[in-house]
Amino acid sequence: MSDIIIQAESTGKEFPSGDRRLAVLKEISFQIMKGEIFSIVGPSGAGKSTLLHLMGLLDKPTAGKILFKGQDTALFSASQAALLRNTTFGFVFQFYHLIPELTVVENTVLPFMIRHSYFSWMINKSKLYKRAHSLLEKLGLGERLKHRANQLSGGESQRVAIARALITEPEIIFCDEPTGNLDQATSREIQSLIWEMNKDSGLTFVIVTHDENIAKKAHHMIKLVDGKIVPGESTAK
Amino acid sequence: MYKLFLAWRYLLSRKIIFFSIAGIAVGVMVLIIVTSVMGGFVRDVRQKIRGISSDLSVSVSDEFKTFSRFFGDYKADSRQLLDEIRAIPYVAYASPRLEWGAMLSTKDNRGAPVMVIGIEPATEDKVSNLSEYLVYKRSTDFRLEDKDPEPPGAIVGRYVGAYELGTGQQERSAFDWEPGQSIALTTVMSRDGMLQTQQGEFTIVDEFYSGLFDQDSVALYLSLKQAQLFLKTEDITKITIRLTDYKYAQEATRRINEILGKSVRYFQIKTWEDEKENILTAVTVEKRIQAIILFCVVIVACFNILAMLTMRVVEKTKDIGILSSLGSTRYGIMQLFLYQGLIISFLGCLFGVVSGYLFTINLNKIQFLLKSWFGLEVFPPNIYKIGDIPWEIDVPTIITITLLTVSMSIIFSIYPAIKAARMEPVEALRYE
Repeated sequence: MSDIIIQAESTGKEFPSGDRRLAVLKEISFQIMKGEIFSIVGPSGAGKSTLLHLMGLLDKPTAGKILFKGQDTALFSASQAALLRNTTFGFVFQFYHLIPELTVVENTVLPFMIRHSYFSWMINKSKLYKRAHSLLEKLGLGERLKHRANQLSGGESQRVAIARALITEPEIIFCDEPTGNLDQATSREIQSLIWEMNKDSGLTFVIVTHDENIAKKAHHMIKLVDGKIVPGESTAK
Repeated sequence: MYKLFLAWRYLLSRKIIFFSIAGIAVGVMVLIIVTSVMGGFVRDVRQKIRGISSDLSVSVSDEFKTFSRFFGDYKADSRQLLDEIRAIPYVAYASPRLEWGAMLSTKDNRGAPVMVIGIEPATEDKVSNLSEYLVYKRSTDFRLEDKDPEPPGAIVGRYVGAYELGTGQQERSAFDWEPGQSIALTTVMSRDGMLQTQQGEFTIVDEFYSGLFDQDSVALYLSLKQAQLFLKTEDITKITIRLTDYKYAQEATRRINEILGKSVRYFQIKTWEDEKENILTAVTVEKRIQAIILFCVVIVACFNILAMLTMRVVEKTKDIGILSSLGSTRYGIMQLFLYQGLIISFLGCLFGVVSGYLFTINLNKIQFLLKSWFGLEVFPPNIYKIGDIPWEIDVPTIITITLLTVSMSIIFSIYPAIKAARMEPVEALRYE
């Protein structure tokens, strides 16, 4: 039981749509174990990203519960949720979501800038920049450190996003269509990077994708259609 | 830490920001220039008023002046009162005065209203700095008590008989005063229920010019003795006092009140500021009103910040989502946009203060250049009666302008900041 990092219990999410309420997620239940790659697959509009946002504490369910290490996330205050997103979670999005005004290395250390006060940042700045340099070099971005985010290719941008997610040494990384905007070769490169990191450091990944080939390679997979888990098509290795 | 850093980067990324900074800078610069020039005018006016004013004056209270202005009519022996006032430790000098309204006429039948001021030449110059404002000769007795000329001497205000044009321009007196001119004074006094006319002839011995039109257009100084002969009285209407230090004004007032005893209710003791309250208040209020009107420029610039930041919130919607996903709180997002407003106002104030200061201290050089290049006179000396444009850099005023501007900018940044903070992270991330 202690290895369960995230658990969904009859989770539902509705959004207002005019006078009615639109149910995007219905009765979703699953468990994500520490150190596994958990994939969520399904067609567009199935509720995959919404489910990821609920797990990442970017949104709150309207029914059921999402538990993080056994604790109901609905009970977390806004600042507790922000702290968890900063220290324990990492996010990688389809459109990279880098800050265009910042350089590659500044984008990478951004979570630390958010965490630290001015004085604490000044004390730790050089150490954290070194860590970012080394991480970016490992990801093949050693030559691009001073480049602005809008000067990078898609694959490079996604690697910067991965570096930004990894730098805080989180317990879990949420990836929303991480290869959805990349060509096949770059997509394969990013996939192998994810699997490598999972294997080397036991980092937990939750990957939302519409590509079943990627999803099936995960330790656990659930398929969502119309906001519901399709029972027969969920797999576990 | 990221808020200030990111706010700075956001601002650098858009050139439109420089217009917002320029807006604030121009507003602050104009405010500093105008308040400094007005401050210079106020200082000059105060100095001029101060120069011709005594520290304290004792006269019959306004409510009793209708009945009589003479001390003797209120059971006050003016000689004894003067001696007792002179004995007060805080009093350096005290001088008697006899002030009375009269009509002046010249031999060619032109006339003008004047305020006859009878003074004791030996003490008057020690109480006010009258001799400094005499045009022809600075003698301690003003030649008022000279045997020559005959008839007795009078000092006339430069603008006695002058009229003011609608523009505020003051014409040189139509009488074109010069020493040696003969004048006649006529007044009426009520004696034993009858109005009696008093007349006298005098010779102009000097011209009085303080730069204050109100004074220069009515003052006519005689010696106290001659004024008393003219008005057929031995009494006085005022005692003017120079203190050892102006800070003792309150204590000296208290002591004079004690001396006046039971007659105190008939008299009023005024400091020079009380005496010239109207003009001092007028120039100060004018300075304040101009500052308030010009502060509207800063408010317009603040609206510019509001519009620019509101636009930036929309532009940066996705970034708000990213920052939320990286652990930024709503308060942090709010601060990020408040800091942008703060940086704009800070830089605007910095440029505004520096340029306002440089402009002000070089104001006369700039005026000279404008005149020599374009023939443009900003302050025509024949209208403003000033050689150089007066200015006074007042640090507390600059601090107030800066603090008000920064506060206004923060207030105007609150709306976009709250708008940004209220944004749902998920909605922001979906925004394209």
